[in-house]
Amino acid sequence: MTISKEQAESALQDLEHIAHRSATLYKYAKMSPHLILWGCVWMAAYGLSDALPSEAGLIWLIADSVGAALSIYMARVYGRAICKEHRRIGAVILTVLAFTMATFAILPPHSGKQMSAFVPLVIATTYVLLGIWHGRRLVILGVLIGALTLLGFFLLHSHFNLWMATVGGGALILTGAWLRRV
Amino acid sequence: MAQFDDIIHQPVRLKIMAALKALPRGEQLEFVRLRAIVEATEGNLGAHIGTLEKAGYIVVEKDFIGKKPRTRVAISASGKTAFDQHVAYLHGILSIAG
Repeated sequence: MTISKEQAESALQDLEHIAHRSATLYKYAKMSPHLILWGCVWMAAYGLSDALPSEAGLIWLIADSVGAALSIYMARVYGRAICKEHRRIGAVILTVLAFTMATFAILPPHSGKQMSAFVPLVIATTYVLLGIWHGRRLVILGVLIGALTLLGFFLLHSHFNLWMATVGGGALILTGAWLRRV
Repeated sequence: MAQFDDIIHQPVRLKIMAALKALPRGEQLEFVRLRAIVEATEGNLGAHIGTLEKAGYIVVEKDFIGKKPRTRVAISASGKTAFDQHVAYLHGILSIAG
């Protein structure tokens, strides 16, 4: 069979488009349960922090530990073929954690509200940066979380944690569900 | 080695192979997701999957999630080689013509 240059070019363009779509959707499907999990963690931890503000530090320590343990478990169960990718994501999380702690050391927050807002802003930035490489749905999630955080921070005088529990956690859960869709 | 492959070159089959090749090694793609990616009808996709499976280019696994049937597809080692050779052939045409 003889193929013209135009046919070959068109076939290669199709291949590139399909391969990119397939790889992106695969990553979305792998990320989806983690986003839903962390949405639940945010809902619980921010919600409890609103009810018991003096215990917020302990609440977040427990919530983050449980969330991280479940995330690692899920990655092992569902992601047998992407160990390298998991290591990269783990490295990104550790970098973000180190950056947050270093920032708090240099610029200590004056209130719990500042602390509650800064962390999701860093996470929102991380989603945007990851999304630039891995797919626009993550960029949308990052922008959404960042905007909701700033909206709550500047407009709400009380119950900011409750706002973050509802809209921040909700945004993560809904985006997780969205990533499952083709 | 660049080599034209008549089985792979059919447009829907080419898309199926490209979608499967883009996954990490050993990973499978569910039929419903594959159908959405290659934008084919259920019957059409099923027929092309059958052709690729018969050629030994893909591995099809069928099971049940509760009562719901599930079909998963993965590229085989020989399918990967054949696909790479076909893509090299297409690139070869461009380099000769260009």
